Amino acid sequence: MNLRRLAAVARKETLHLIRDWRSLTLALAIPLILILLYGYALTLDLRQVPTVVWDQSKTSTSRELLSLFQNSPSFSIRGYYDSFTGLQKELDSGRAMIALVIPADFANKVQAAKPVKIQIIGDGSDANTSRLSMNYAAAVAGLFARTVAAEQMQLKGRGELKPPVEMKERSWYNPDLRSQNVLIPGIIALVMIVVAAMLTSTTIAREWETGTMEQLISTPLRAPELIFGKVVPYFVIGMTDVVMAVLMGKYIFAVPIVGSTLLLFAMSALFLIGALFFGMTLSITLKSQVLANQIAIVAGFLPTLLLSGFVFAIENMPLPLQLITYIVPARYFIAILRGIYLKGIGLEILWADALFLGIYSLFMIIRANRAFKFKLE
Amino acid sequence: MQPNTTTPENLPAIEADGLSKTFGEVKAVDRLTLQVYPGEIFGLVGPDGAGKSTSLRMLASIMDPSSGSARIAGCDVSREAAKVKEHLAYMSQQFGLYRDLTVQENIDFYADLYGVTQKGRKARIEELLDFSHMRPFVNRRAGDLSGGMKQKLQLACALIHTPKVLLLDEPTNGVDPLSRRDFWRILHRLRQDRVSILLTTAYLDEAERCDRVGLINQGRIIAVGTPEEIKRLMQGRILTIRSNEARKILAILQGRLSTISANVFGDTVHLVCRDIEETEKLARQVIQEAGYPVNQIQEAPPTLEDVFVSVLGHDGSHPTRKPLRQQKQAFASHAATASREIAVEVQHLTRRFDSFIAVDDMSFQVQRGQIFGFLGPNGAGKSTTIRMLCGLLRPSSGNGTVAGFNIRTETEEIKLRIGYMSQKFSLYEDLTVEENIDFYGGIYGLSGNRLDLRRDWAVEMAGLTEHRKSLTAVLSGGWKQRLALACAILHEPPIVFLDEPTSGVDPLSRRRFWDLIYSMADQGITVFVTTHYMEEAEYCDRIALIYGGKMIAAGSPLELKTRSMQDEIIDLRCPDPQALAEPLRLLPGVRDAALFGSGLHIVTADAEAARKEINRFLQENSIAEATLATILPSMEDVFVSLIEEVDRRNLSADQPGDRP
Repeated sequence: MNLRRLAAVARKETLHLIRDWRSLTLALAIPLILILLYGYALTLDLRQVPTVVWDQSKTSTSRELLSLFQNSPSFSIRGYYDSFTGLQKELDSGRAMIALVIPADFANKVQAAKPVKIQIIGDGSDANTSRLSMNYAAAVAGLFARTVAAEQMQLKGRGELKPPVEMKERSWYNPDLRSQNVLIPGIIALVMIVVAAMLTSTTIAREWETGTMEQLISTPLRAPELIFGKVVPYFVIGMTDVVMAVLMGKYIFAVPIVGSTLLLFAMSALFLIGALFFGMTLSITLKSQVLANQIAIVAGFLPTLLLSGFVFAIENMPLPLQLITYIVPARYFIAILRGIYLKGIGLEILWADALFLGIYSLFMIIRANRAFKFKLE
Repeated sequence: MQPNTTTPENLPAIEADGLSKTFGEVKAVDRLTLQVYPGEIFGLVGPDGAGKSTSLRMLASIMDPSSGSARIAGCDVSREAAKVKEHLAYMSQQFGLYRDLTVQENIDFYADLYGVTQKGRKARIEELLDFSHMRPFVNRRAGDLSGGMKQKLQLACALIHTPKVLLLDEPTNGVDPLSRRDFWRILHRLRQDRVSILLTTAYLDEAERCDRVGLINQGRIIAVGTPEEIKRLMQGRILTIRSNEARKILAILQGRLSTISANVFGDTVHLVCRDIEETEKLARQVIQEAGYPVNQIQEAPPTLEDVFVSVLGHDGSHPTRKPLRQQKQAFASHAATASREIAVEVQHLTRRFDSFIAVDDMSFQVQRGQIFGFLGPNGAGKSTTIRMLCGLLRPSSGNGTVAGFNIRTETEEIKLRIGYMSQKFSLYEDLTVEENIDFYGGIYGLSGNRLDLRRDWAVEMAGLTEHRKSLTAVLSGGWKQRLALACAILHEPPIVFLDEPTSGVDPLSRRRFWDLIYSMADQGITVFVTTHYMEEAEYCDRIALIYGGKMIAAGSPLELKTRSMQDEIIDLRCPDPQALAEPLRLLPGVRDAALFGSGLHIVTADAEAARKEINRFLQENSIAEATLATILPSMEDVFVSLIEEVDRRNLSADQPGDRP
């Protein structure tokens, strides 16, 4: 491989990029938009679940319970009704996610320290949110029950209540259980695969389509020089995108990096190379800019979104799908990123994921070079 | 250039030995064998799909041969591809450079690819820029250059490493005559530097300038030799009859004479016959009976194009003449109304794009049944004018009528009455011949019985009877061209606009195409045609010369040659004419000297005085085998001299000439 010719190709490709400001803007704007979109829209935390109430009891005790709901960041009471039809209307129209029904004898039974039941109705058409909010609501109700019990104990002069077994919940690595801390690494992977594959998917095909390839073949230029030379400027753009994503994660979404930033960028570079050559392979085999571009976006985006553990836990997938995730490079990359971001671990633990990522990138490099016939058919 | 060490002078620099290429069932190139020596220009000519490009690609080592071998500067193209590429420059038919890069950036890129060292690079680039007259444009984007400049830039990039072998695939296709002259000047300088040049061309007057020519057909070389040797292959002799009624004369002669072929070129009937005396006698007799005027009857020496047509004219890929007669019926409706009416008329037509004036105050008239030629270099405003006439583009100012309808206000009416064939034949490659016809028929509102009739007619006219169900993509250029024309005139329009219809089509197909144009004109259809080919300009009834958006001359070809041109032309036939061009240009009284066919055309204000000077020069340099003749200028001479006159005027009027 002649480095001067490689550099010539890289320089020329950079000029194309600078001249074609639309694709350059796209390459920098897409990550920005994706990160903002996913960062804000895709959150797994419950916030301000709209709640409606039928308080049949209408006592200070029931209001006490409701104030717990009101003060919780998870719920927001939107209205009070005096009938099931009122509640139903709110749930039907989607204005409320859950409804609470407090029985008329609520206060009496609580005073009498007798068991009492509150009804929590969830909107099952959004099963996930509904289940979550019902669990939250149960927890809030449980808190109330404990408080009441403790008060009553005190009243009866028996001192503090010590529950026999107490669960002390602590979440390591992400103490506040902020879903953004988990999602930002996944978003970085998503952004990189989309941008990288999309950019390189057109490059070789463009030379075929405009007829410049024939002229190139007639020169002493060799195929690997063309392929590697073309990748160089896109690698720079891809790494710029990574830096941008990390900075946005840190300053906009307040996701700290516990581990080594250097390792983070090194691993990103490894993943980026694989993604760039994946786009290159598509461009080489399909010889059509439009087709290669579309396939690059779909084939890069979907598996990374669905099969990488980004949003959906791999352990919960059916076995065949789980097996497929092993060939999705983002799986390893996201595992590495989460390890660095949240756990602060290094290669001593992540080596296997890094190895797979390396194998994938190497495979794509070989694939692209093998597929490329630097001759007219 | 330094003396060649790896290829001794007597060894060929390009050698093909039984080179073959098969695509599936089709033999594209069949046992090609040829040698090109250092300092030789070899022209490969043949119809579309004859295997010219494939041959060049195999020699350039960018395509693997199916069998056979070839050597470039002594290196095998299959086994030593890397070495071959060091010695070679190849120019593809398509524009192979980057449109979004500037001239300088493109040249630098190729200099890097060829590993031209920084030390010699600057001098070499300077030399090439001067050589190609590209210096004023170094910072222009390649995509903004004219067709001719693009080709020169591509050549400059290919020459950056001073190659030993130059392979050029139709390098002057779609290039105006001025740029073509420049291009050939460069080629001859390279030839003097002992570069071996192999080129393909569709212009047979260019083939005549080559040292040797190879005629190729269906993948096989059928003749190799100097242009003179090739011309001896001509079957029969050529009788030309010049008359103002040439087309009518052809019509009456066709039934009466047993000729090999008969065509009309402008005001001249071209008869190819075996017995020239007999034919002349009979022709005179027939013409006299009919009472047509004749200016001149004489035998003409065959041109390469005549040979090409006579040797290759009988293969199956071209339609027989028969369909033409059926066309007559198809167009009969217009023939009845044909008279000296005005079909197209424009006054002060102007079109601006921002500050750029594409068409500047143009006025002309075209009569019904006339073939009106629109001539000019790329970017002169030809296509813009045609688009305004077709109602596709609104004029900025000025007015005009087409078929009696206003081009500003009645564009929909106009569209019903015209046929338009664009530069890029607008056929759908993934549809069959019939499906394309049906689609265009549908657009023009043909259906049922009428569509069936017109479809049959179109298929027959295009000579595609056996290919009705073929995909358009597999058709050769000539076929596509005729199909595109058939589609454009399915609705039998009285006016047809053809925008460079013959660009990139081989001479044989071009002749067939002109036969179609003539028969349309005979039926009273007005044909408006733009072209780059100067010979084709001579086939028109009237010509308008366009340059820089302005009409700089108009008239019949004869009028243009005799009246618009102030300079006289001296034709010089001699061995190695290009070598004499430079010194001749310096003689007093000589304005220009340029290659034309196999000789030189010398432009002068006073032929008598110049001839004395030239004769003295020839004697001083003891060039004996030279013949001089003052001739009627060719259309190319007219074109070039009129344009240069405009440039001279502009030059004195404002800043240095910056021909776009």
